[in-house]
Amino acid sequence: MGLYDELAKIVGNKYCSDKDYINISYSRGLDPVLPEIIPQIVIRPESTEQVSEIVRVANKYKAPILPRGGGCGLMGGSKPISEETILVDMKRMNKILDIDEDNHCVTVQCGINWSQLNARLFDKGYYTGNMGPGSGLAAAVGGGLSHHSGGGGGCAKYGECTENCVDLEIVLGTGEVLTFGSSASQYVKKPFIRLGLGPDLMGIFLGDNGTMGIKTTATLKIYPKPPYYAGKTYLLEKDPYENSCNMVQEMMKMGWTNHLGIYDYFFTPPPSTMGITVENLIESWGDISGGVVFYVTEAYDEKILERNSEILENIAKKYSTRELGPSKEEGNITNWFYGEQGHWQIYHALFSVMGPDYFACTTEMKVPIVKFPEMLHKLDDWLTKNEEALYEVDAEAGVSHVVMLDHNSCYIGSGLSATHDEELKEGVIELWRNQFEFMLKEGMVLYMCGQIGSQVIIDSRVYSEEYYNFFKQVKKLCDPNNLISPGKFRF
Amino acid sequence: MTGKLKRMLDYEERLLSCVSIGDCTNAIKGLYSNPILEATCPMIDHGPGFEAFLARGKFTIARGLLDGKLEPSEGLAEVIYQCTLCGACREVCNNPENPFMKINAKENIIDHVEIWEALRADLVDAGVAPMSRHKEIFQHVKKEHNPYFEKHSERLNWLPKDSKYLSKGGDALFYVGCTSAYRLNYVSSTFLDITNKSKINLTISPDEWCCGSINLRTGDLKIAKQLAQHNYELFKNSEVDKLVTTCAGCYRTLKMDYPKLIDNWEFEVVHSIEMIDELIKKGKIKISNKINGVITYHDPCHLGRHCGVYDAPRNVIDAIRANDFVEMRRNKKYAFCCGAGGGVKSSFPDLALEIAIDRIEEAEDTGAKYLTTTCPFCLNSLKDAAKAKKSSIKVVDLLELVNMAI
Repeated sequence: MGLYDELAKIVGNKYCSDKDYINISYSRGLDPVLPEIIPQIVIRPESTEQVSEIVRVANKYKAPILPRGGGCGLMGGSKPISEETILVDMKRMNKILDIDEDNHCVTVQCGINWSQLNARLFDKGYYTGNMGPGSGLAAAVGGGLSHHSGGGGGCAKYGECTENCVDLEIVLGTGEVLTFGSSASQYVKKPFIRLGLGPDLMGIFLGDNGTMGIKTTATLKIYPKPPYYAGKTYLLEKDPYENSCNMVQEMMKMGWTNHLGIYDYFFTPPPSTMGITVENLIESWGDISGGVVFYVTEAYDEKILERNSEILENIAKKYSTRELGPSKEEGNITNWFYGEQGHWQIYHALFSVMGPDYFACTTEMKVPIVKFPEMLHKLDDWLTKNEEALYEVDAEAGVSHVVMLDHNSCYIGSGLSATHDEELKEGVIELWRNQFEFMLKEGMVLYMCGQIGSQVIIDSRVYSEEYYNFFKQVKKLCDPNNLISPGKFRF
Repeated sequence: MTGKLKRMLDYEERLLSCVSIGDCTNAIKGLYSNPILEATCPMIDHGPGFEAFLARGKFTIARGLLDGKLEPSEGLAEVIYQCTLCGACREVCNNPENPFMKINAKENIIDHVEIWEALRADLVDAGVAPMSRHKEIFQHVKKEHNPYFEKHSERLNWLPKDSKYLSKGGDALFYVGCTSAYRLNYVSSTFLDITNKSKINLTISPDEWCCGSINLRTGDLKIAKQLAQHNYELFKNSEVDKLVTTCAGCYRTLKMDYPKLIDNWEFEVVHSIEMIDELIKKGKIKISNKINGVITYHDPCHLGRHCGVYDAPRNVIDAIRANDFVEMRRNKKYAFCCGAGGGVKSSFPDLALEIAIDRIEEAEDTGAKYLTTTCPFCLNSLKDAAKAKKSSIKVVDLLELVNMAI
């Protein structure tokens, strides 16, 4: 019995494929330029036990494994790196195992996507707070936890999705199954908290880009969804980088998320060359020149909402030129994306607006809020310096958005937009890597890594040697034969 | 190989417009009980569920064929043909539904169903498609002008002896269609009964041929064009301006496809339920016996998503019901398919049945006594499923309820 037969025996022939015309559909991600490699086998397990058996068989044959959730990665995280890959399509593991309203937690199989999960929670008056990644409604919980995702909504109030993970079941590279969080105790009957049993070993598997093990089950915090919200959109014509930052800082001093109920806060710089900003996106913004800020605040009480909105508006007016709104017809897009669209995935609308086969190679990075204006200016300088090189590969660069995370940080949605043109791909990748390296060496850290980001970290010697050696030892402990997602972090 | 994929080459820009965001693979927005956006591709939960069976995967396959990474093969064709062409992928594709956005990707792709049909036609040209059952059907359609292996001469055997109809002229030509002629022919006789009672004069022709829907959906454009041309000549000679049909598949074909196949197409096409809606509104149909029991309604893909007819059947239900009308969770543009379309029922009957059973379960959740629809092909599929599931729900064409109510 060969590799395919042994794998097919685990899930049945129906859910195991070695056909190129089926497996090719797993060769793509959302980036247009990283190699599209067809995995040798695609397998669709339905249980943790099956995932464990798959990993044990892979060990027998020393075959690399790539777990894939929604396949929405922007940086090649869900793309196979070699043709020998066994791609584990996790989407069949999409069950909600328990909604524990008393403990304010939900337990799910990690193949469920954030939108399906939240639609069911909405019915009960709950949500996950942070709504996962901004890369699409199909993005899976496992993928979000592997990338510290946050941009899908609610990250100003609730932080990145990994901050809300209470329990996590992992299939290690040996096939062994371990649970982290309170369920690490043999006496805890239902998961309820992440910390309390020694060091936070779960953290090793969060933001790991699927390298340390395969996430099979997760318990996340859930929150009652506030019944009231308000959102505003403002134009900033003068010094938009500095003024948007100062606006946030003043709001922060008033306890912006804890006391004023801020759920999301976005800054969109003046028209960037990525093509997905004010110039050609929102028609109702009209012919404006400047940056745009939009935020949403939530409340459980109408009067509290009114008062909080008033406080926020007074601050916003100080730093802005004028309000775009209050109606959506006048440019207030918050009512559309939060109120009408289910309040997440503002980016979702942005994908592929640039036209056929023209999409983003993103380098999204986290910085302290206080530093983002400086970094935006530096990115502008990078663009000027590389203008010619960008032109040669038919690419453009810029910043599409800055999204505030909780506490003191934000992430900058930067990167290139490029085409599918085979002849230009190499040049685009070089520039893409260059921008990663530039930003990392300016002291930013990655919002997500995927394939390319994790490799640039190593290639640019961002870690000290001692740190990387320790990291490699942890990897060896979790995955002794280096079978899970090989190539990322240069493992 | 790309030389044999002419249509895909023509559509290259549209194929490249899929950036792989994957909403078609299982996205949902809003409440689960009342979604504002939902991917309802039947292949998400039925069949093996590999991405290749979903829209994003099929775009990648088409790109792979153009790039030379894949060669057309019978195995590949078998994947492409396991799709009901319901068009649910089109509804959810990169769908911001923001009236204030200037552009979106869906506008670049235009029509997913058109692309899947073109891909099938290319695979037929490449000699690896259609499925063997479709080939048998094509042969019969060519000879007897229907896909049901029946004789053309028996096409009007369903006509009740006392029914009134014209051979030319009148208010419209009743295009019966093959399913309503050879299988669920009570749908045709019921419609004729209603129109007779309403003093609507319909022309019916024994020379009507299959509309060609099955050929168009499964990649055989040559025979489809012959059928369309024959029917067009027939319509021209019938001294009518309007065509009416009880079949959503025929309706879509006559309304959406014929204008592309026939130069100077000039006929108004209406579905029987649109005609009845108008007759009720004008008072030409009087409702005297309202229907007792909760009613739910299945939107046929060809009538709903493909042609945008959502209100007429609901208006009619409102007019005839004595009790509640309860929508299924997935309705209108996010309605779940019955599983029969796109040649799936004929070539993958088990898959079609599985999908239809899913829909029956959804209908049962409404507590309805009647599951109604406005397509004999859907009706057939749903009836099979209700029988297989031993469901007590009554699967009926909406025309049957109308006839009971007048």
